[in-house]
Amino acid sequence: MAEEAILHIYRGNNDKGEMVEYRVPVQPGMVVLDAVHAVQAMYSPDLAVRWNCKAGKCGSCSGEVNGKPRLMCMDRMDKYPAGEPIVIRPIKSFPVMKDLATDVSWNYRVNKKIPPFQMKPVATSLRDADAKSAGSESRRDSATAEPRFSQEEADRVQEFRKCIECYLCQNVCHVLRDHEKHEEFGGPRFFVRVASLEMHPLDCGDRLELVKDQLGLGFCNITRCCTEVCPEHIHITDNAIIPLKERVVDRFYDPIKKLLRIVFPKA
Amino acid sequence: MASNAATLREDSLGQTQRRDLWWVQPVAMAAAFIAFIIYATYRGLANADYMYGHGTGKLPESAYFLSPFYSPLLALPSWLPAWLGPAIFVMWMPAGFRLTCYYARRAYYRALFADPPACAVAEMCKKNYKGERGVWIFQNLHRYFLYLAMLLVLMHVYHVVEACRWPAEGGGMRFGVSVGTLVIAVDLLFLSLYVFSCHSLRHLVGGRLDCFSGSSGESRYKLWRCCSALNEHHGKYFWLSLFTVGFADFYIWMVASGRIHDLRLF
Ligand code: SF4
Ligand code: SF4
Ligand code: FES
Ligand code: FES
Repeated sequence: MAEEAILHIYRGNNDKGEMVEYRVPVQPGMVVLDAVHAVQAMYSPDLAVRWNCKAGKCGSCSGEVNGKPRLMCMDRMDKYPAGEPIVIRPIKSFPVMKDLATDVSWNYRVNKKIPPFQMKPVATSLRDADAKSAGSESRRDSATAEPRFSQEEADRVQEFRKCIECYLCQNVCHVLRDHEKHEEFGGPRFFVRVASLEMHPLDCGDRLELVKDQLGLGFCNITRCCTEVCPEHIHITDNAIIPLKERVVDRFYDPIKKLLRIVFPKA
Repeated sequence: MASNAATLREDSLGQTQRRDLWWVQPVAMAAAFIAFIIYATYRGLANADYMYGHGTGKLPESAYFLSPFYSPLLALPSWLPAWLGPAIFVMWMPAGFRLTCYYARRAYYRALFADPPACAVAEMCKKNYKGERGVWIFQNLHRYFLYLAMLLVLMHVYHVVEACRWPAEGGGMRFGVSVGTLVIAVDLLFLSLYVFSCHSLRHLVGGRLDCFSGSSGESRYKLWRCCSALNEHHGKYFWLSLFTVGFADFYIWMVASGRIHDLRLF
């Protein structure tokens, strides 16, 4: 007889719910999402769970397995000790719609606050004085006259493009999870998005005031839980949040820079 | 079987659905922080046995060794009370640097303030959370402590050079190395790795640019890459340098107080 897995799955909505036990046979190579699908097939076709790709790429199947935020489709059953119940809950920071499906639409509203990519006028695209000395040609392809940038410049923002919007980082971030600062704080996913735009060599938008005031970057105390759970292994704190904090310091908190700006306003 | 949904709450400190040993890391880190703070405070206030070697009145046949807690050594005016040793006037620099370090912030917000104690584990105080917008806003001055820390690295280089200059028998100085020299050289190594992997430095050397084109852009890109490579291990360097600086002080204390003999290697 095939080995059996014991699952405790949250059933209910945002106001009322309970943990319900199910037993399903374990197949080789099974992941937690497969086990949830087995529950649907064997006992409860109305069990709500969001999923799409089963390959860790669509970001739909976020949940909390034994208290840890994870993509259920990438979480193998064989790493959990046999015979012990596996607890599966919806992500905590967002309202439960039904069972394991949560309403993450708050994230789309935050996203709308961020001004999209704004192309620099290419001839004046060089921000720093040193690059200017290289001439504006370096920003245009000689054959097509298309704006261009180097691989090195692309590499840095490329990392942020890996985000699959699973919102596991938003779920685990204590500013949202414990302090419920949804009104004042944007969350790590959107710091990643702002960083991808702010560090883009051809973007001329300015989102520093937005990230400081409306997205509440200062609420983040860089305790790195977002980085620990990101299934795409984006270095959220080291490569997005801390560099943004440093840029915010440059603009708003560095007393000597502030003084210099008063004395030499043009520079 | 159905349990009550109320058991899903994470309301009071430490409540979680996690089943792993999430508390081990914060407890170990809190113990390390507290032990270091007690040791450094004691040694900073002790005002004794912090140097030896020629010119200090202790072990004149040895090279000059000074505890990193007392470096750079200040000559204090005589009207200051005797218990106010020179360490107090210099220790605020490395202390401020470490207190405002991005890695250390992560470590002590978790370990000492349980804010949060670990990921997906409930915290103690949920009201009036301000993060780094309230009293912690001074953390934004980290870059100024970085500039001071770079001066401290230079002081450490000077002390390692001094620790290689041993009084020769016929007068003058000659090159020599003892276990103590190695101890402070290792401390210099880890302090340098810690300082040069700093997030603020990474920003300063190139991170703040969007464009890496042009001749200085390319060299700053290279610097940024070097700093980024070191930065990946910044947390490790934080702990290693904390240990080596404590150990260097301890070693000098032991030799200066006559409890051990500093073995000369060559
Ligand atoms: S590092 Fe900041 S954004 Fe990331 S989880 Fe912690 S508080 Fe939230
Ligand atoms: S940054 Fe990572 S954890 Fe956050 S939404 Fe994107 S992929 Fe998910
Ligand atoms: S189903 Fe697409 S990420 Fe899990
Ligand atoms: S960030 Fe740790 S020393 Fe600067």
